[in-house]
Amino acid sequence: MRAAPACISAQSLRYRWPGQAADCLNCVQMEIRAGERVFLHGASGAGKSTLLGLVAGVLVPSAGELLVMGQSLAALSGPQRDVFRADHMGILFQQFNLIPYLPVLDNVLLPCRFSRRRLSRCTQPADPVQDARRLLDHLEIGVELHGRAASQLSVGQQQRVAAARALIGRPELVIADEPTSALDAARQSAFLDLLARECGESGATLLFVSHDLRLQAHFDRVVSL
Amino acid sequence: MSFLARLALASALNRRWTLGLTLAAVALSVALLLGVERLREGARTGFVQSVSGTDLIVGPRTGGVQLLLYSVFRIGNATNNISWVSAQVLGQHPAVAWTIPVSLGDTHRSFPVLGTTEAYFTHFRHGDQRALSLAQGRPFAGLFEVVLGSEVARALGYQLGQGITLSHGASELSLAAEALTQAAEHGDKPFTVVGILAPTGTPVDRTLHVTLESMSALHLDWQGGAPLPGLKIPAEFVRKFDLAPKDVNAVLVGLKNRSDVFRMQRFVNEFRGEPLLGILPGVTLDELWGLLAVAERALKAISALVVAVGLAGLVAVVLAGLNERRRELAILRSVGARPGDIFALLMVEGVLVIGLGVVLGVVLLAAVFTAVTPWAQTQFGLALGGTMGGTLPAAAEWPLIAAVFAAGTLASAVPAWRAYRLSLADGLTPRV
Amino acid sequence: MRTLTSPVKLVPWLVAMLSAPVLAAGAHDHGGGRLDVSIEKERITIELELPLDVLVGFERAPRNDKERAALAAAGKKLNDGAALFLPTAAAECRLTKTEVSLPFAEGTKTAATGEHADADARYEFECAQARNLAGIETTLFRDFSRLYRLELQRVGPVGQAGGRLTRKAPVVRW
Repeated sequence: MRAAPACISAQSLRYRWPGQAADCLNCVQMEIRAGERVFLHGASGAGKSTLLGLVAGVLVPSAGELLVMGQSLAALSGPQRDVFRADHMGILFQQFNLIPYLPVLDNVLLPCRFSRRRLSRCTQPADPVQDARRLLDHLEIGVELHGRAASQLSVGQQQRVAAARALIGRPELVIADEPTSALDAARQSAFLDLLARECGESGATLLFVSHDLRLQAHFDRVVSL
Repeated sequence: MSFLARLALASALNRRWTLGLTLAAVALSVALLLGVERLREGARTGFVQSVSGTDLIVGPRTGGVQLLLYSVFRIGNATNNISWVSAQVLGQHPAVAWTIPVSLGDTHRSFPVLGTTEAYFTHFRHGDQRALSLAQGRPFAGLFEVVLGSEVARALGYQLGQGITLSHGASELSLAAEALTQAAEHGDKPFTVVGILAPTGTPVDRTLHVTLESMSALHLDWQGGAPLPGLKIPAEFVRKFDLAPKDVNAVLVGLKNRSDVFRMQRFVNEFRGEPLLGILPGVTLDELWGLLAVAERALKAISALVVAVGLAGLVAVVLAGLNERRRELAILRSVGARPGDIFALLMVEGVLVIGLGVVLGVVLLAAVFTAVTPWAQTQFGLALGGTMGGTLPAAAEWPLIAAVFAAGTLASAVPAWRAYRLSLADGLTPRV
Repeated sequence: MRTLTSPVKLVPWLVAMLSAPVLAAGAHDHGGGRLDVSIEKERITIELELPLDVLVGFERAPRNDKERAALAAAGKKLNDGAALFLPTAAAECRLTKTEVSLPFAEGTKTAATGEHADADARYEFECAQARNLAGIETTLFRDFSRLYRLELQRVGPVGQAGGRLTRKAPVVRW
């Protein structure tokens, strides 16, 4: 089988926070293929969030090379990185993923507002709501919740809405930063199954970050920091 | 509406209570700022309307402003007189079309009493050259007849044919003075209401008008502002005395030819008989505004400061709320919002509050003035003209409104800039 | 209880305060003069009163040739009304009448009243396009460097108004 093209490739990647004496990330080597579901593991303070920041293009490497989908993020300007992120990545946080005062549906549609590419990759670019409703349905958010303010949802529901948002417009890369830490064990497992399935369906690469090694069963591969 | 604007609106609605209070502060400060300006314009128009027909006012050598204020607006005390002879000489000057003598000093229930002649009813002009008209009755013809201004009749509920008494001196100043005033009423000389004037929107409405002879009759047995002890002249004997006026406080002069006014003014100021002062009411009003300009500027400065306080409040509230919203901003960044979008989001919010505040302020001001205008009319006899009652801002107010809006927009840039910096520094992981 | 004086009752006091700096009419004011402008249909009448001191620097009969020359020069300038007052050009105004009374000048019989002496001048303009009249500029401040202000009174179709002309604002506007 021919290897899929690289989605993320890091060579001698370093990052040091401004004003800090030591590197936060020191010489990271990493290669993630398109379509892979990768579990990125590291203890607290190992630089997981920093690495995500670099991949998402919010931070710029201090040294070394980082290619995402063959594109060197350091070569892009700030606004170009913002566009690149909106176009190609869906991002999930630990919690408080949603704009509390917007309805569920509008929260899911946010990436389509900021990225024309994400909108055009919806099955019906003229009507992205269809995709949003389908994703919410797949992630087991009932129709009766679609119009509700995000702040009225349970934490578990919120995380699934956030997953729908990360997936809409079929981005090539989904980044999840401990999205299950606020859920109990049974719900963690169910959520990860859903997330993995949906990524598989849309062909997205999944980069999942956690300190909790028990979750690794849901992934193709574990990378440790 | 663009998505950012909708997002800003939704976000602002989410914080409607804190932002609402700030909005109220901005609206109030805008109302105050525009109100000061409007009051000035209104008062100016009202004053000009009150003297529209008079070319020259002649009085004793006091300040021009003082002469204008007491002869036309019944404000202040007429402390000096000019002789009746001088007044008559003036009236016979070939350039003069008419004269109206003005004799003040008495009051009735704190409304001023004006001694004058029939010329008042035929020649006095107000507003756009309108003559006085009687709503009821007729002008005074003889002794102890009084014609009421519309507000006097309304406030005191007087009817035609009613008998009233006039008190001497200015209105009561304190409780003690009030007791004196009561003692000093011309209680023995009742006046009959023979006419009531139609409303004019000038101090005429607050005035009681009697003949100069009535004025003299009132004071026959008085000396130095108090009744002569032991001397009491009953009303029926008053007619036997010489009631021709000895002096008046001022004379309003109308000219046959308006451009003769400077020649006439010189004639008055160089009058041989006694020192006289002739003023052009329009010129003296301008002088008065010039004198008041300092107070006006102070008021303007204060109201501008109040606007600044309102805007500072807005900045403070938005800045304080920003920390709680760092997560919200990070989420927006994660879905592709650029820092510029974050800046724009906060700007839209600020401009929204300022814009609404300005609109509310203008509406509030219109409401307040609609309520206050009748009060000013009854209290001061001044129809606050011009833009006072208007609901839409006058042309002169737009630059002020624009200035507030510009200052507000500039102020909104402070939290917007802060949010921009935060969103750059925080990236996707706000360190709250 | 009525122990508080209402704001209305404070007005006389305020008036007295404000009136204090107002100069009595006809007062002689060094550095300043009076300008009266009246407009009636096509005719502008300008009446000017200037202390002699403003014109020549003294207020008595000239004592030497230099002072006599100064007086003559001032008289010459005052007599050139078309140069002293410039109504809006579009109004097409033409000087029709000039009357100048300059104390102590040759050919003038002067009865000096008191210590002060004033020069009086009167000018009349006829304007073909009076409706275009927007203002009158005066060059008096340029001609007489001792002149600092002119107290202005004017009457016209829009009513009476007052003001002050200065070196920086030498234009009658309405």
